[in-house]
Amino acid sequence: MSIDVVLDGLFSGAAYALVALGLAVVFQPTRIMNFAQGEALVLGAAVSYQVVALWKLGWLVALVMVVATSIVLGLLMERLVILPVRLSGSRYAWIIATLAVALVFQSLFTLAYIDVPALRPAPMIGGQVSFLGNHIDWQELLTILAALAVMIAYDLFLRRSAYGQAVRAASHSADTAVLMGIPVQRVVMMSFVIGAVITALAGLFVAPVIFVAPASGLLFTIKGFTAAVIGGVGSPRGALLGGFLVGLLDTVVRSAISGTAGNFAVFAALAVILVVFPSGLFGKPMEAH
Amino acid sequence: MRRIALPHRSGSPASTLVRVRSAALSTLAAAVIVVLLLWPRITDYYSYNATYYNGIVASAAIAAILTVSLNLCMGYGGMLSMMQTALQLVGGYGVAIAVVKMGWSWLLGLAIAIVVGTLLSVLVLLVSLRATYLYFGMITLAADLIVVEVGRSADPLTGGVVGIAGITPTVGGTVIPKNQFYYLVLALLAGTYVVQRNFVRSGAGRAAMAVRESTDTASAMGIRPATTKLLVFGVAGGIGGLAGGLYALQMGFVNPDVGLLDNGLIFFVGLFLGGIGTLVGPLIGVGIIAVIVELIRGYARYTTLILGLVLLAAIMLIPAGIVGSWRSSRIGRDPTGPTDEDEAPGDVPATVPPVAAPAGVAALEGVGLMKFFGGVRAVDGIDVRIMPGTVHGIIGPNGSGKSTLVACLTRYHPLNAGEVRVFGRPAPRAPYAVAAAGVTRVFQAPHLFERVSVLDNVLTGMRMRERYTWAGAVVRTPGYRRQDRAERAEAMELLRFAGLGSRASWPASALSHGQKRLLEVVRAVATRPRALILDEPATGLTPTELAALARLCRALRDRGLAVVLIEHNVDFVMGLCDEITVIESGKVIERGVPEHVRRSPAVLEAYLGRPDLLEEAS
Amino acid sequence: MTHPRTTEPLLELRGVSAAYGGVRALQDVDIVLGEGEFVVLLGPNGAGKTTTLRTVSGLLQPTSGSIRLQGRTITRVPGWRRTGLGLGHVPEGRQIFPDHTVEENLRLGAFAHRRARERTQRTLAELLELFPVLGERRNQPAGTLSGGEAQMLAVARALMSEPRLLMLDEPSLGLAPIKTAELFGYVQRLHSERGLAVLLVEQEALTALRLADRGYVLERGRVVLAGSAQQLRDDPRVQAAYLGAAPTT
Repeated sequence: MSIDVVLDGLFSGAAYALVALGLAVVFQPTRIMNFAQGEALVLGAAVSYQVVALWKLGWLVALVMVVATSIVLGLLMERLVILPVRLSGSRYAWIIATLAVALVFQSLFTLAYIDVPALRPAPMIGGQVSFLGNHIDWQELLTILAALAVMIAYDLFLRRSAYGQAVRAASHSADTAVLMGIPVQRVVMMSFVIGAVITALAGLFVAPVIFVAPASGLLFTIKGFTAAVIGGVGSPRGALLGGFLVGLLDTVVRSAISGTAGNFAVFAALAVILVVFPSGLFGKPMEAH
Repeated sequence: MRRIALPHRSGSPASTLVRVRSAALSTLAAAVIVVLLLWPRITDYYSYNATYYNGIVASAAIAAILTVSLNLCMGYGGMLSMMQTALQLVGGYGVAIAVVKMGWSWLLGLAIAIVVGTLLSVLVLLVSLRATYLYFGMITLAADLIVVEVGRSADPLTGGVVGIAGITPTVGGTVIPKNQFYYLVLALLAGTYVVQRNFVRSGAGRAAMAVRESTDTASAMGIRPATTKLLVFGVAGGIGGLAGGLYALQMGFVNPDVGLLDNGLIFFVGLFLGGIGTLVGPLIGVGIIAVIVELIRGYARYTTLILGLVLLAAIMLIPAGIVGSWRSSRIGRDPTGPTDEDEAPGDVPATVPPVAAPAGVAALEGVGLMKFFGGVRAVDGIDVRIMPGTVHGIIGPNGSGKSTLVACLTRYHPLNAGEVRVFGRPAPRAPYAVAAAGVTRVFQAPHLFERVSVLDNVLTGMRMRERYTWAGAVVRTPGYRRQDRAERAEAMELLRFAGLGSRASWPASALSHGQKRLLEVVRAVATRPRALILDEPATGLTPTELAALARLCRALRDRGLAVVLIEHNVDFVMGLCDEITVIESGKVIERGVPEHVRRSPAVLEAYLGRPDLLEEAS
Repeated sequence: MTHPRTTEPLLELRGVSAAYGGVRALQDVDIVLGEGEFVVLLGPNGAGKTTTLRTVSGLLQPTSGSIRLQGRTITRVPGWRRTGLGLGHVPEGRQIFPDHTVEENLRLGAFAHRRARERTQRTLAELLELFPVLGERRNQPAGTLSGGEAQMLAVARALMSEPRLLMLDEPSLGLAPIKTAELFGYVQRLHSERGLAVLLVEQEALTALRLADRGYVLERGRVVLAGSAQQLRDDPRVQAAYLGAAPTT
C-alpha cells in the first residue's frame, strides 16, 4: 500500500466527511436523517460544472453561485421536509418526506443534465504537488484542506457563537430551548441551510476528480451516513474522522482487492458498527426520531 | 380491525350507512376482481398489444406482493425496512439459479425464492435485535447495499453486473403462455393478501401490533418482543422472496440493479399512498401508481419526478393514505353512535378464575431492593410483601421512587441489589417472563393500543394463552377457530363487566380518559394475572369512574388476586387498601393499615413538607 | 408581606382552557398575579399545574381564554419571544443542558438579550455571586452537578433574562429536605429583596404556603380554591387534596 492510496483515501474521505457533517447538522436539532442530503453535493457539482465547464466563468463565480443556490436548496428542503412532518402525525413521515425530496431533486438533476454522464469541471488548480516524495493533485490537497477548514469553522461556530450554543441547546430539548428565548423553528431552518451549503461545497471541491453523476446523490448520502455513524452522529470532529476512515477503507480495499470490494467493505463496516457499537465509535447514541 | 356484531337498532341512520357502504365497497371490489380476471380477454379484444397490457397488470400485481411484505414490516411490525429490494433480488436469484443454472423446475425455484427471502430477513433481524427503530432501518439499508454488492461480485453464481437472463417458466419442456402466468400471479397475489389478513387478525398479528406500539406494554402481557419481531419479519421476508421470484419469471432476467434502493422507492410510494398498516392499502396504492405510470408513458423521463411529487403531496394531504383517510372521513368512519351510558357493571365474570395460593406465601415480594441511576438512589433498600387476596397500596410523594419500584418488581429495570420473588420463587429475569409467571402491570401513562378496537386491545392480553401456531392462524384451522371464538366471547364478557361492552368495536382512541384507564385494567385482567400492579390508575378519573375502578379492584381481590395500587390520590387509596406502604426518597418510611399510615408524622412531613427548615436555612 | 397593587396585574389568565392531544388539561382557569407577588399553585398530580405554567410560557397554545403579561395580551405571542418580555420559567425536572458548561447554560438563559453584552455580563457576575456554588463550577459541564446544584443552575438560568416573574415547577422534586429549604431560601431572598414576582408550583403544600402571599388549588384542570396563604393553610380541603379527607367518625 503506497502513500498514494492513503492520500486518495483521505481525499474521497473529505467528501464523505462533509456530507456526514451536513447530515449531522440537520440531524442535531431535528432528529431527522435527511436522505436528500446527497442532492446538495450533486447541486454543488452541477453548478460548478455549469459555471466552470460550460459558461467558462471561473471558480470564484462558481463558489458564489454554489453558496447562493445551496442556500435556496436548504430553505426549500426545510419546507419540503418539515412541513409534511408537521402536517402528518406519522412516525414515518420524515423518511417519506426526505426520500421524496431526494427523488424530486435527483430527477431534476437528471433532467437538466440528461446526456452528461459525469459532472466534471476542470480542476481549480491544475497539476500536482510533491509531498513526501509522492505526487498529489492540487485539487485533492485543496479538498482535504477545505474539509478541515469547514470542520474547524463549524466546530468553532457551535462552541463559541451564541447561535451555535442555541443549536446545541435546541438539539437537547426543544421545549427548554424555547424557554431560553431561542427561536427553535428558525434554528431548524438554519440547520438545513448550513447543512446544504457544507454538502454543496463538498460537491464543488470533489467534482473535478470524483465521478459525480446527476443521479448519484443517494449514494453519497449513504456513504456520508456511514461516515457519520462511524464518527458518531452529532459531533463535527466525529464526522471528519468517520469520513476519512470511510474514504481510506474504500480506497485501500479497492486497490488491494477489486473495484466493487470497496463498496462492500464500507457497507459491511457500516453493518458491523451499527450492530456492535449502536452509539458509533466516538459519539453519543443516536435516538430515533 | 374485525367488525363484531353490534346491537344496532335496525333502521337507524347509522346502520343504514354501514349497510349501504359495505354493499358499495363489495360491489366495487367485485368489479375490480372481475375486470382483473377478464383482463387478458379485454386486452386481446381491444388492443394489438395485449401482451404489453397484460404485462403491466402482472408487474403491478408482483409489486403489490412486495408492498404487502413491506406493509407487514413497517405497517404492522413497526420495523423500518429498506431491504425489500434486496429480498426481491435474492428471490430473483433463487429462481434464476434454479431454473437457468440448475435446470430445476421453476416451481421449485419459487419455493427456493421464498426460503432464501425468509433466511435473509431472519439473519438481518437476528444480528440487529438490539437496534432501535432508526438504527434498525439503517442496518436494513446496509444489508440491502451488501446484497447488491455481493450480487455484483459473485460472478459465477449471479452472473455479476450483467445478471442472469432467459428465465422462463416451463411445463414439460414448453414455456407457459404469458396468459396463464398472468393468472398464476393473480392467484399468488390473492393468496398473499389472505396470508396478510389472517396473520394480522390472529393473535400473532395482535402481538406484532403490540410490540410495534410499545415493547414495554407487550412484555407486560407476556409477549416476547424478539420472537414476535422475528416472526413478522420472517414472514415478510418470505413474501418478499416470492415477489422477487415472480419478478424474475415475469421479466425473464435478474440483475443486481433490481436490488437498488432507488428501485424500492416505488414500493414506499405505493404503501404510503394506499395507506400503511391497512390490509388493502398496498394494493390500492400500487394500482394507482401503475395507472399513473401508464398515463404518463409518453413522458417517461418525468416519471420519477412525478412520483416524488405525488409522494410529497400525499404525505401532506392524506398522511394516513387513501384507506386511512377514507376510514376517518365522514362516510368511511364506523359510527360510534349512541351507547347505553352508565351500563351497570355486572358481577365478575366466571372467566376470571379464582387464584388458589398456598397460605402464608406472598404473591409478590421484594427483599432489599436497590436501584441506582448514576448517583441517585431511586430505590434504596426496600422490602415489600404483597399477600394474595389483598389490595396493597404503595404511596409517596412525587419522585419518591414508586414507579421505579414497580419497574424493579416486574424486572423492567435490572436491580443493583436485592431479590424479587413471585409466590415464593425467584422471579424470572425478562419482563415478559415475569408476566408469564402471573404478575401483570398497568403503566402510569396510558399505554393503550389507540388505533385498534377496544376488543382487540383486550384480545391482545390473551396472547400468552394462545396455543395455535401462526401457520394455523393463516390457514384458519379448526383449532384456531375454536380458540378465537372462545377468546372473543371471554373478552366481550370482561368488557361488559367493565361497562364497555357496547363500545367493543370502537377504536380505543375514541374512549374517554376514564374509559381508557378501565380498559387497560380489563386488558391486564385478560392475561389472567395472579398479581396485578396498577400504577396511578386513578389520575384524572371522575368520581363515577373512580367508584367503578374501586369496585373492580375489590372484585379482583375477592377472587384471590393480589392487587397493588401505586397511587398519588391518597383518598382513593385509604378507602380501598388493606395495607399501605409509604415510600420517600427510595426508602420505606411507614407501613401498615390505612388509619395507622394517615396518622404517621413521617407521612405528613413527606407529603406536606418541612416548613420549619425554612427558617433555619434563611 | 403585602405589596402595593398597581392598576394592571403582572400576569392575568382569563378563562384559559388547554388540551393535550384532545385530552382536556385546563378548563376555564382564572389566575391573577400582582407585581412583586408570591403565588403558589397547589393540587394533586395531573391537576393541571404544570400545564398552566406551560401555557403561560407559550409551550402550549390554549384552546380558549387569554393571557396578559404587564397589561399586554400575549396569548398568540410565540413562546420564544415571551422570555424577553419578563418571563422566567424553571421547568419541571430542571432541564439543564448537560453538555454545556455551567456558564454556557447561564448565557443561554440570556439568549433573548444576547446583543446587550454588558448587561448579560453584569447579570452573570451578579448571579455567580448570589449562587457561589455555581461560580465554583463555572467551567464544569452542567451534567456533573448534583441535584441541588442543578436546580440552582436552573433557577439562575431563568434569572439571566432578568424576568419580572419567575415561574418554578416543583423545584423540590427529588431534593433532600435541607436542600429544598436552601433553595427556597434563595427564592425568598429574590422575592423580598428584589421584588421579584414568583409563581410556584409545589407539592409540599405547607412549605409553599409558608413562603407565598396567596395560593390557588387546582383539581382536574379547574381552580377549586383560592385565597391568602393563611386561609389556605387553615382550610382542611387543602390537606384533603393531598392526604385525603379525614374520616368523619
